[in-house]
Amino acid sequence: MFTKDMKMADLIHKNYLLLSIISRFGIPLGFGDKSVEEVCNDYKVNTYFFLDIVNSCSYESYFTDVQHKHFSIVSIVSYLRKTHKFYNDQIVPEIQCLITNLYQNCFQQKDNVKLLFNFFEEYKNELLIHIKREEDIVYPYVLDIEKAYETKKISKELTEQMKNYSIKDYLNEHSDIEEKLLDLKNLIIKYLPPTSDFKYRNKVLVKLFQLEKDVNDHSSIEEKVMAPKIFDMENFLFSHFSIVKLNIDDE
Amino acid sequence: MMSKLKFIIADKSFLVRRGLVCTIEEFESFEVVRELDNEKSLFKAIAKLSPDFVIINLNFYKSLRLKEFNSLTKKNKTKIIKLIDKNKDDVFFNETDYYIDINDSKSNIINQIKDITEQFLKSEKTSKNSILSNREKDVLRHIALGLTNKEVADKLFISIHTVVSHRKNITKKLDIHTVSGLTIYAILNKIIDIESSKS
Repeated sequence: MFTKDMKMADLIHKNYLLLSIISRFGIPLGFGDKSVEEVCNDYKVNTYFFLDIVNSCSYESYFTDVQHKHFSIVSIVSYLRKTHKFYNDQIVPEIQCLITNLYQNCFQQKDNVKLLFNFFEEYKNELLIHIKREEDIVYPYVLDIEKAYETKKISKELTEQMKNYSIKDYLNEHSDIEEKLLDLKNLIIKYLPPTSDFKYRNKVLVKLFQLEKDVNDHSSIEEKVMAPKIFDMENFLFSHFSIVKLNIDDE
Repeated sequence: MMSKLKFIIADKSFLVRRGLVCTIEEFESFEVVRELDNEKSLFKAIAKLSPDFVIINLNFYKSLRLKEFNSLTKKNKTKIIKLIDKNKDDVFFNETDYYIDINDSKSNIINQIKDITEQFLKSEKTSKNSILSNREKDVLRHIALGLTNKEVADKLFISIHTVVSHRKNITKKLDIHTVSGLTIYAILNKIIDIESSKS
């Protein structure tokens, strides 16, 4: 497990997939032999939060082992938004570009590669809808909850919202968008007949694996860190302001 | 030589756990890799050991974070066997659920476990054979063209239930889960052509 006294550089040596995550925190490379804590302080990043993220992305059972108390919803949401930005601005366009390259470098299978390109477009649209819903509805809601919890003041709008929608509903509707990605990987690995091009076919796959892992890590931050914190705050607010939820849970 | 089937036993009661461990270990081809009594160790053990089966007390099961538990077991291809008490638990089971009744006689319990593991081994075998049968290809063709289960059933003169079970097998064999993924598979394998897929 990574700790605050380790050298930042060693984290990357251990798990190079952390590269894109470290950049998301606004930390550039070139940190010499500084420790994780020193680098985090330099860039005003909450060290505990940083460690939770890099550990959870590196050790599968991490979230089931650890308590998370040292950071706010504000910092979680800000990280999640940056992750969305990474999908939109970086990895999705990269994959599109690579599939296009694959198309251009293929002599046979052109029509089939085109199908895969369209399939990825479908996935992309699903991902964008998913992202938009979180950015427009879920994140503002959780930020409001944290604010109400901290100030012990609640607006009328939030009260109304809580009656109709709570973080539990979010967890229930939090959809699996990974299925298409899994299918695309299998289509490229197993079912697209051999192509004359190896290079781009492999590159597309590597990027798809990276995206898949990142999306999974992203959802587990939402489901295992953000949601439980909000759940507790909601419960406090429900009882503190005597709010009654409208729909009846059929549990 | 076949490797042993791995079991995890999850129950709050020490005595029940010991009883189960002894019963399971009477089978030469079975192995209990962990016994435990709380959610945290259960999640950890499944992630770490990916057992073939978890035998879990029904009430304990109900107290878990089910969504996560189910996705974890799905991911590790772990089958869940629920330990129930027919005298107390008011339960309605799907055919697909595996369970053991705590009040059963030794021979019944052993037979139940045998049945479950045999089903499991059979399904392992079929899933390794990834070639679709002709009937499955028929079903796939219609699904790929965008028909609903009901429509496929009417076209092929079979029940919806049969269509659903064909679909399950197709998905399992191909490891493709979405309709659009299946459509592309069908085109790549010339089960349908691109032109007809557009209509």
